[in-house]
Amino acid sequence: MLKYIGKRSLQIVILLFIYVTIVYWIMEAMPGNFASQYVMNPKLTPEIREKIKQQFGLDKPPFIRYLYYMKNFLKFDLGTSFLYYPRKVTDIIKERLPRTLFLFMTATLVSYSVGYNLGKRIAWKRGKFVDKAATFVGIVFWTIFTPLLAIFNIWLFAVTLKLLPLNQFIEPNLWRTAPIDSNTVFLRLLLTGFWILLALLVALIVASFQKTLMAKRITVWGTLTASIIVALVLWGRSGIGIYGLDIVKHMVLPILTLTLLSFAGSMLVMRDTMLEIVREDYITTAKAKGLPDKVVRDKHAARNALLPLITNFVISLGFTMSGGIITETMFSWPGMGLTYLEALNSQDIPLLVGLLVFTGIFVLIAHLVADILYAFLDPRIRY
Amino acid sequence: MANTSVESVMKEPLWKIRLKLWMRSFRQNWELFKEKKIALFGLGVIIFFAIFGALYPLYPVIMKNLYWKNDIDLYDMYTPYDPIIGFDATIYSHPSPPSLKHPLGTDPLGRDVLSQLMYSTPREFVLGITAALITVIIGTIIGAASAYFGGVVDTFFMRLADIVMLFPLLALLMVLSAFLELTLFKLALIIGLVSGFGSITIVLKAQALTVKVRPFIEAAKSAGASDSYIIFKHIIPNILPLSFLYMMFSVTSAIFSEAVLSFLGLVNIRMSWGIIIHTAQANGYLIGSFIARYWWLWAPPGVSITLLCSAFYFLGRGLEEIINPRLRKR
Amino acid sequence: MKKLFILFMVLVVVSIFGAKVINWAIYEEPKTLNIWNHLGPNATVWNDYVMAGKYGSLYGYSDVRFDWIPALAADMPKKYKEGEYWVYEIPLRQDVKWSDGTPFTADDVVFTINTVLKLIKDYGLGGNWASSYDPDFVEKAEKVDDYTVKIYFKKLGLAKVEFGALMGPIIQKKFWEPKVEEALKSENPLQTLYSYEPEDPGTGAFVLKKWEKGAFVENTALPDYYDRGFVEVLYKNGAVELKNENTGFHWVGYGEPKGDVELKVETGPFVDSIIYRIYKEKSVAITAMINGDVSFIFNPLGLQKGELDQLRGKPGIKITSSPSNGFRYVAFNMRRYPMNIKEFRQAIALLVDRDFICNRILAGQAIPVSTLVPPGNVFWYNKDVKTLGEGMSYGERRKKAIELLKKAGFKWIVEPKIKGDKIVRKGKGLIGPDGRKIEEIELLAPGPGYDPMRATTAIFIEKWANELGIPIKANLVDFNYIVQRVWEENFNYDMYMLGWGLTIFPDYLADFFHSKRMGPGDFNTPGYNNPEFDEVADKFLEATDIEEARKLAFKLQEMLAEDLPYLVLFTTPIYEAYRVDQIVFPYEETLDGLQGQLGLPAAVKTVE
Repeated sequence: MLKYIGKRSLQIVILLFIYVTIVYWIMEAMPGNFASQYVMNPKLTPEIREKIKQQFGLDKPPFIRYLYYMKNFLKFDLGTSFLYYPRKVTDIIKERLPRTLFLFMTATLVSYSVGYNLGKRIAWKRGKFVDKAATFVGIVFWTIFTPLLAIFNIWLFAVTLKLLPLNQFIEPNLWRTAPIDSNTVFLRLLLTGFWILLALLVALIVASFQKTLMAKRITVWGTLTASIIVALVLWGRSGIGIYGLDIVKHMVLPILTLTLLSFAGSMLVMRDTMLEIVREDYITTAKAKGLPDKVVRDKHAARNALLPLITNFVISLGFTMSGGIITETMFSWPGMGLTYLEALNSQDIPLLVGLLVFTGIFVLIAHLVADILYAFLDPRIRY
Repeated sequence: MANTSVESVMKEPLWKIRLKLWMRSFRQNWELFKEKKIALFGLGVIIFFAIFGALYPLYPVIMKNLYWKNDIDLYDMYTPYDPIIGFDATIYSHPSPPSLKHPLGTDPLGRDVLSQLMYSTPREFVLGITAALITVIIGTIIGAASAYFGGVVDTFFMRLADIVMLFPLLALLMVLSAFLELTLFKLALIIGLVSGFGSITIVLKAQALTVKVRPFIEAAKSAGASDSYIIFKHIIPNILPLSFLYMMFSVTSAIFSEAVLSFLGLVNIRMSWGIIIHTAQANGYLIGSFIARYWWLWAPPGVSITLLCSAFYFLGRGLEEIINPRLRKR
Repeated sequence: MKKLFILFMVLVVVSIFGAKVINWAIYEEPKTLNIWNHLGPNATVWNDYVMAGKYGSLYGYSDVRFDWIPALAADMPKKYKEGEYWVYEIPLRQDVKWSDGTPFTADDVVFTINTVLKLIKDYGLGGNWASSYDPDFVEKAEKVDDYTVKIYFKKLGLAKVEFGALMGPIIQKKFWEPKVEEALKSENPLQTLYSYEPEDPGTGAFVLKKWEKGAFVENTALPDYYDRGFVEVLYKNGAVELKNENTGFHWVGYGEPKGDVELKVETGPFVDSIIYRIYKEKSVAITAMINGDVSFIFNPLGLQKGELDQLRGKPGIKITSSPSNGFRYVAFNMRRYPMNIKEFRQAIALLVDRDFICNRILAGQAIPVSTLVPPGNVFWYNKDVKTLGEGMSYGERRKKAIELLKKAGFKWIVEPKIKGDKIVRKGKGLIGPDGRKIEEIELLAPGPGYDPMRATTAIFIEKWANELGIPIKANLVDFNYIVQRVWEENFNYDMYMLGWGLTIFPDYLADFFHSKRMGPGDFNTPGYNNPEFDEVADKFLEATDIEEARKLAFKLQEMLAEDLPYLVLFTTPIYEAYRVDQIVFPYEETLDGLQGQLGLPAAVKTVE
């Protein structure tokens, strides 16, 4: 296994290089360049434009620029953005990343949990009304055009019902006097979420060693509740709790929209793989043994159906980095997705390539993790 | 002696027997298929759209004779009607609500919405099906082969999938749309090719792995089956249900991707469902309470996208039992 | 519930302190608030809006009328020659204070001008700095005393002097001198300069309080702003009066300050804070305005038709319309055949029925324009220029176009035939005067994603031309692709359609069409080469008297309308909206709209 990980890591590094090169040249192939926009200013003569181009290094031929870029890349320096000159690309990514990460990771988690739960239930009750209803609703939401759903949700919850905030990720009136900036709060929120998840994982592992169902339930749910309470208390006493709450409040609507849109995906994958498994011998055995329905479903069938689901999940986690461009636009959540769009439109090559490389690393690692998990979950699979 | 008895039994030519067998299994499958109402619904929707799109050329002819008679400025707006620039100069304020002249009203630039919808339908069809077919065919074969052969083949395709997944499809499409005038068909080819080598191979390979390690594969190998036989006759049929599921995802994703790209104004397609919604949004008709008032600007294309995409899925659901006999209830 | 509580708290706080806070919406985050960067490579309108007039200049424009008036200067300059240089001796206002309390003096002016010139010449500072303080024109600045400055010019010309250097921004010496020195010692001076935080004092009424990245920017007003109570009075007889009764500053120009008053603008600031909220999605900003969360939206393209419809009739919201200083146009590449034939261009001009396009197809969202100066720029607009084809019917236009083409020697394989207003027979196969068949002519236009108005117009031009057998094909492509073909591939195009956002002083009339600007990447994209035009253009650029310049500008517009290197199509007025129940502006309509004036942050008042 270790050898496998080592081999894959090496492949990841090689891949990254190939990837960066391909991406760089695609961007170069786009017509015009960053300085094209200056043409539209009637006050800037060609000489002045030439000077600006020089500042960005755009007067050098593409291949030389590529070499410069790769040289910096090796030093982990992703270069300086054109759009946000003279800020460094890593600086900009650091600013946008927490916002995207927090929103989309939470959304993915929620969506997959919902999908997992619904999926295993409807596979068990195949053909009955629940199955048909859930499938129908799920598909309808899956195929709704995202902007329309977003607009509708905003209109419904924010304007008509006035339950949730209208837009953005914070309420300016509240934050005018805030002692810290939103990024720090995001990071703290991310950290909190991470610790809670870790606690949950530990609880799950401990629970798997326990004998009775009751004990397991207490461990898992107990740990979860306890860690959430601890987190809330810490936040409340830190004095910045109100800001964290503000962000979380603004997250509800986007997450709701995203979950509605995508739960069908995981639900159906779960359902379909479960259906396969239901026919398997070991399920028939378990049923013949007289085990309660739920146990057969959850402990035997669902566990094995997790395989493709987990693959999907881990891979889509990798993709949370790029965020959903539409979601970010509709909800004014300026994260990586929007930055990507911006950089693409103005041909800010360093920023663009930097973003893609960042996303790339995440996705590649996610793929590796998925493969490893797979081997854990299905003992028949060996590398 | 043996010959004559065989000949006397085989009164009919081989091809006729095959045909009869095929027809019988077809009828069997149809019975199975019919049982699932959802699948029938899906099939119905697809047929409806197919006819809808095919009827497109007739529509302006009918309308011209019925309602579009007066061409006030004689700017020859209706011969032949072009949903992209066909402008109705007789109505003062656009977008106008549905009327006899324009069953689905007009959009902010004065064009008949129904003809825009019909014009785009066959193209959306082609887009979705082409992209999905290409994706699933490539993905399934590669997934199965990677799982079966392992080693170098596996590594190569999995790494390729990694790169393709990271591939900025958006950027690639923007670059291409700057040079070429992209039609939906060309878009479908690109999307199909790029997706086919992408994440679908990873998931299908994972699934194929679970099939590969099953005893009957060992059995087939020791019986002397060739690699391609095992792949095509054993592994692939067992992962086909998942493939079909992904075909639905692919159709949706292809049609969606195009709609999103058009909606964001990134790609220069002259007319598609996504463009219809984009026109509505760019002119500011997708705000708040306007959603209800100007419904004909976004509901027809939005509902069409939803219907067509979901129809493909329901169809897939109906087919899953046929493809995989183990799923049959009996 | 929580939101209500917070809102309640805010209201409580607000009512206790009587703080007047207004919320405005912007669609993009500012790229930078650093003045070096903003007038350098990272200029965006959003920077401007949020900077809210932080930096002043010696002279500026009056409201609405755009008269040339003193701003940081106290009076009109004294002009005379000193040796080989032309000198402008400028008296400065003595009551101006920087936001850190220090007085504004001639030191700041001299420092600004000399430093910028040095950075441009020796370090390659580019962008709008270089076009304001053009080293070809400006030599140096010298201090006479604390409140008098002498600026030395190598050459004169309204564009580069009065409307150039004298309207350039002035920065504070005390803050920037040490920083510039530090930057010059660093490895990449310009980059270092660009990276400084925008903490420098300004002469505007607002200071930056908080920039919450991605969400909002907040400016607070200076409670002891030096110009609080400043009044600008515009008289119907053309006179302009400026006065600040607190400090005693008073200036009158362009006539006697008596008679009817056209407009009076008071400077406050009358609000305590302005919060610029960043909304990425237009429809949500509109919903926010309807909800009352914001009172004004900055939208450089103006509101779209649907957005206007949505806002119309909503209580408390008023919609205004202002002319914009810009136009969309088609350019002919006169270096190629047959675009170099005048009658060909005129025929195409006849075919384009601007009224039809603007009033029917674009439903009044555009106004037809045929001169190079848009009608909104009242002083410079020549309304006597005749538009080809004006008032003609569909059939008459086409007949005249065919006539013109025939006159130039064009022939057809199948000649189009017009009867009354109908095209009885479509033309096919246009043959040029030299006997060669005209192959396809490509019209590059932006796609419907970028600008549906231009895309639609291009398709119509294609259609109308094809009816007469002129083989034009509209190619809808990316904006960047057009820029590449035209500017980077050395004018590799037949026709293209783009737009311009213009300056008030129309020096572009000369720049866009002078033969010395025909080189690759330069402004004269059509390749217009007319020695007569060049002569008038040169005189225009060198003019120092504004009335003389005006006459010359009029002549230039006439010549351009006759020769048609550009086919000017239309301009789109800027529609804006604001909440009358929250804010009051001193006026609502002006060239380029309220947002062109940055929303008048120092003059806007809240409604009690």
